[in-house]
Amino acid sequence: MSSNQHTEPFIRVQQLYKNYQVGTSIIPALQGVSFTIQRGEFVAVVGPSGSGKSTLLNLIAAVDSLTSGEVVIDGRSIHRLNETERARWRGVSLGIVFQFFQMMPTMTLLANVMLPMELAGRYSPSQRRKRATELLERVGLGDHIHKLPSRVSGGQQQRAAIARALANDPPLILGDEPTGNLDSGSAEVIFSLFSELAAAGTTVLMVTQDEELAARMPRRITLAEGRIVRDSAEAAHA
Amino acid sequence: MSEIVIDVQNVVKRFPVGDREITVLKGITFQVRAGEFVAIVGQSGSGKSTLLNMLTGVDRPSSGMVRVGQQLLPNLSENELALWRRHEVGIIFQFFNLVPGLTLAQNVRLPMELAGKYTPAERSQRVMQLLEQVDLADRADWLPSRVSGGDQQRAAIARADANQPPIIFGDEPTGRQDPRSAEACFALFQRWVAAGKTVLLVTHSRELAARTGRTIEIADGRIVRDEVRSHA
Amino acid sequence: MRDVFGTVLRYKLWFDLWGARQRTLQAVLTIAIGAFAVGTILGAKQGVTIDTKAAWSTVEAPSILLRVNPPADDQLLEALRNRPELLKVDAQMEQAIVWRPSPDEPWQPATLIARDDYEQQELNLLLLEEGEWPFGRSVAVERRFGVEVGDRLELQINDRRIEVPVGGTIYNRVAMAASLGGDLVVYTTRERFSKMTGQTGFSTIFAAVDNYSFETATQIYSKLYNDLSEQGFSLLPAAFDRSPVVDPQRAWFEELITGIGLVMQVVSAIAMGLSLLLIYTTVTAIITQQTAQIGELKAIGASSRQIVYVYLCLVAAYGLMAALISAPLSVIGANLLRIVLITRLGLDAGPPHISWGPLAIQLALCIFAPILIALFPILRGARITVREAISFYGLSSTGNRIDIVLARLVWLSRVVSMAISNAFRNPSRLVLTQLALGGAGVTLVAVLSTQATLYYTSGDLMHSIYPFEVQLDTKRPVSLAQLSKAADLPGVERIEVWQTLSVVLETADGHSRALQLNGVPLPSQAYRPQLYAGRWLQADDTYALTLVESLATQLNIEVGDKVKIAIPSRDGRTVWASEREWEVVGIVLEPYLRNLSRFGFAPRDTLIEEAQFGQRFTRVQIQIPAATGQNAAQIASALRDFYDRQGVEMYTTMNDTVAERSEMEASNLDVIAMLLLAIAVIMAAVGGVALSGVLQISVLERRREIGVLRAIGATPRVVRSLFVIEGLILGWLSWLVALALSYPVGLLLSRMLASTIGISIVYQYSWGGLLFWFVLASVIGVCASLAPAQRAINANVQESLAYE
Repeated sequence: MSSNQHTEPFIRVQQLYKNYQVGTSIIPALQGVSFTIQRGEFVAVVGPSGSGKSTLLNLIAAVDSLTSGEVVIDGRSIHRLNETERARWRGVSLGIVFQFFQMMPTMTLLANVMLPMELAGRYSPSQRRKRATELLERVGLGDHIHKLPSRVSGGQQQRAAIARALANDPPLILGDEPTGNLDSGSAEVIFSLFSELAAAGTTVLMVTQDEELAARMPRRITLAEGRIVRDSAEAAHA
Repeated sequence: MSEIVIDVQNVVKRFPVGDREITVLKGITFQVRAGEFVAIVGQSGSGKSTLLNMLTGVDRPSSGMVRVGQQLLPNLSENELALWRRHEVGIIFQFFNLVPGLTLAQNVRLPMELAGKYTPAERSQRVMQLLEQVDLADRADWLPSRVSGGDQQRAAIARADANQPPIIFGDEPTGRQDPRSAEACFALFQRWVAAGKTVLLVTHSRELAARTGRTIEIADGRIVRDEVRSHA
Repeated sequence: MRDVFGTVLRYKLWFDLWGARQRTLQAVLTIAIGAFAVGTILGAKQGVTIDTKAAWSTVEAPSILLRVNPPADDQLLEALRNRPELLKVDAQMEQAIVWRPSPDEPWQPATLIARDDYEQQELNLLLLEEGEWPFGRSVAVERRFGVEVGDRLELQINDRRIEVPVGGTIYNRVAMAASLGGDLVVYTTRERFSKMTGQTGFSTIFAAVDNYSFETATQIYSKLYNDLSEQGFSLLPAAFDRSPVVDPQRAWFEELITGIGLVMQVVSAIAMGLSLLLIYTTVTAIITQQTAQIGELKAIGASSRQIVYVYLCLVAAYGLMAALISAPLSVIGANLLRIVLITRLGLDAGPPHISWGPLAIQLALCIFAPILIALFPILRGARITVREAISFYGLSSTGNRIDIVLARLVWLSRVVSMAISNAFRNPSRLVLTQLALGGAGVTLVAVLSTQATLYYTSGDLMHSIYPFEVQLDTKRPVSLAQLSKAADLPGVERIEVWQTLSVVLETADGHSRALQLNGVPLPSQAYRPQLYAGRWLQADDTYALTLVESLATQLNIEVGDKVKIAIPSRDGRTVWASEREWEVVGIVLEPYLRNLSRFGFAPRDTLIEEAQFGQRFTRVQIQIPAATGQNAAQIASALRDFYDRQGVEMYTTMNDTVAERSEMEASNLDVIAMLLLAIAVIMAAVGGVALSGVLQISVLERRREIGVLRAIGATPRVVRSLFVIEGLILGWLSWLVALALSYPVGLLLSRMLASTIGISIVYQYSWGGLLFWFVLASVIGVCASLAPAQRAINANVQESLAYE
């Protein structure tokens, strides 16, 4: 499917517009955003509240509909898929880590990590279990796999969320302020996990308000009022 | 020196997480005097929103003392807190702001009616004045759902001053506004301060914080910096 | 009130009502449906009572009924009219005949009746419905039998066939209506009656006494009995199933009406309970939706009291609208239901009628009940702290013990275990759902069991008690040899002959009742008693008898009691052939309504001896090979023809076979069975609505969870199955509730109903009903979850994840 990956970038966002209808007035959230990301890049999306960075992330994850423009990921125009196809695509091609952890509250960490595999129908049941255990061990939660999310700290929940995002070994990880609600120690652990993933070849796109953190990432896309005002990759080019 | 209107002594806040507890505020102590313009900054998760909740009586400390105006907040019941908020403080939340069924004008009017303050004629007059200050006079009769998030937030700012409270608290009060409106709001805060009100904002924008009179920075539940500038 | 209407919050009220029209409509309909059901049912109940009272009050019901032999002449009537203790006296000529509307249709039994002067009736007043009173050859017929003015009928009277024109239809409130399985009544003039039957006197005499009481009327009757016996008349109770003394206030349909009334009352109580449950669910849902708003209002200084008022006003507004909608509808509904029931009883419905009492209950139910019931969720909502209302620390809920157990079941699909966990997540809501849905299940199965009990009692039970399919009664006692000849007929396996006598029973405390005593051979092949208490008769029993349960209960007779039995003499020289003490050795159940089950059993030989008219018998029980009802009726009619040729006269009834009698009983109970079924349907519907409401709340509460699920790859199908499985689990749980509780509840309901309508029952649990509820609960579970699931699917993933 991605035979032409040398010429075609992994993510291509083209002339993306997104308007929200609020009552009778229309509020533009994104006003013509275009950029490309190559496989394996580690990108920060930064900008003030209301700049449109969360909207951009939502459109890349196809959890929101766009007004116009196109998002092509790995050769697929994801907004042309129907809801079921999108769900399947998200299940195997994408891992999302949210700000508020968002673990399913009634399932143990192990079950939470197994869930995306079951939803995608990947691996045999015993493999799922083995894989989920390994992933949780990898994020340092080997001792907690049978605990419910409410029994572990926020930082641990977020690590479990990363393990869940990796469940189906997706080529793309999205983080929506994944360190936003953590103390600085836990935030550091999470950030280093993301860095490791990027180093291992996974494409990572992370929205953050933390300027220090963003400064440590190789590429930063800065949004303001729905437009890209700075892209460190292009700046380096120029 | 003016009087101390906010007095926070050794406030600790713990949340139960499963069978354990996490400590979000680890002993916060500071005082704010009447007429100060204070920004509380810090990363998300640093505990700054929790601290604001302690000051508005929205939540109670696990231990420590919080006095705002004349009231020792932890001593008040939920209902007493509601009555206290009517007259003594104005609050601007980041997200939950306006009552959906009421127009902007009605939303601004509501606190006056709840508190039984002013005559009906005075109320109408005040509502228009307040909305003009935040540039919403032309949309006074619109429902919140018809205006942008920024407009909603500005209406909430106008409402915070409905009963002319001496203290106003805000949680990212300009977070959803474009730079120009944000600037106008900031100017309004400054006018309030000039008029002798105490304004305390929670923000993660260092830029905004730098323009207030005092910045208190929280990290991991502790005050790591408390800087008073003379220029404000 | 000023907190809302004196402030801009009144606009919020308006917005909540009009801005969320669909929700308003749902809430209003929820309240209105329950109130409508209650108003309709109670209104109809009151209307039926008023109508039946009105119908009966103008009947001029007699309190004494006499059947005299030989029939009375004018002289006797005149003498009776002159007796001071009798207020009014009227009489009618009666003869059993058969009729058919045309030569190609079968003969059917009818009663031929004549009054002295139709224009001058005194008692048991007949009303002219259409056409004219009988005159000349022209007869009138009982209405609603499909015979109209201008039709011609063929009658067969004493072997003569006569064709008569129908000149009028008559509304006789005393006769059992066509709709209840009564027989046709043909009215003619006195002259014509004599000409057709050869009989000139009045066989039935009605009399009214002043200030009726059972005791005074019985006294007067005894005196009449003695006087008339002395004058050479033999006196029989008016019919084997009727006592000579009757309460003129008590209509023959009274028991049915009470039974219907009881069922209706139970239904309306259930409807009221369910309606309150639904209101509770709806208000809870609204409060849940507005939690953030409540926090916001508090943050700007609204006190808990002010918030309580805001939502109470909202609920009151729903209630008012529900009242406006449901009140006129239930007035219409009550009138329609009343007319259906009254017509079913064969009576005339009165003019449209508003029952103010039920209407007041309905309005209270609309306006006050929602406020009271909503107070719980509203107070709980108003007590939410601002932080609880506006906080969003990730996914709010925490898992519980069930989740730990579920986590161990590794073979279980995550979707299934999530659905199970969701079903059990909120215990108080689980209880609420099961109250509604489980309650519906319990009621449904209980109601179906009651129905099964009624049908079993009038069907299988009757067949098991009476294994001989055909039963014929002779008009006069006949010798065994004559009756036994039928045994050789093809299709007849065996016959058994009984002696049946109308006797008067007197209890130790002086109460007397006419009843039919069946003398049965011992042991009897044709009667297999369903014992209620004591024992059945044994071969060496003599002055021992068993009574039917309803009669024994009425007269307060217990096993071991001694009663006096007086057997009328047949020759007219003395009043009684026998007067002596008998012992009640047993009480049996009979599958007949109370007014048809005034009988008992005694050893045949002893009874014959006491009656003093030799080895002659009056009833023949005939066993035929296992046959269908149709077949049995044919054989019965062949047997009639056979006896006819032998010169043995038989009574004409439509009830020769057990199947026919069972059908007649069943048709009496049909109205009640129909009502029971209607309740069952309503219960199921309400349970479904309640479940759907609960699942809607779940969707609201778990919006973000569903958003996360979809973000990590759950397709719409997975989301849908999540809710459908939850619905199924809740449905099946309600089945378990029904399994546990429906047996005792059904037993209780059956007993209550049986004692109200005066029948004896053998309880039958409806296993079919339980199975039916399993299927229905599954269907409800799936259907009720589809709409909420669709709502969860339609919600934008981004919106679900958003923090507002």
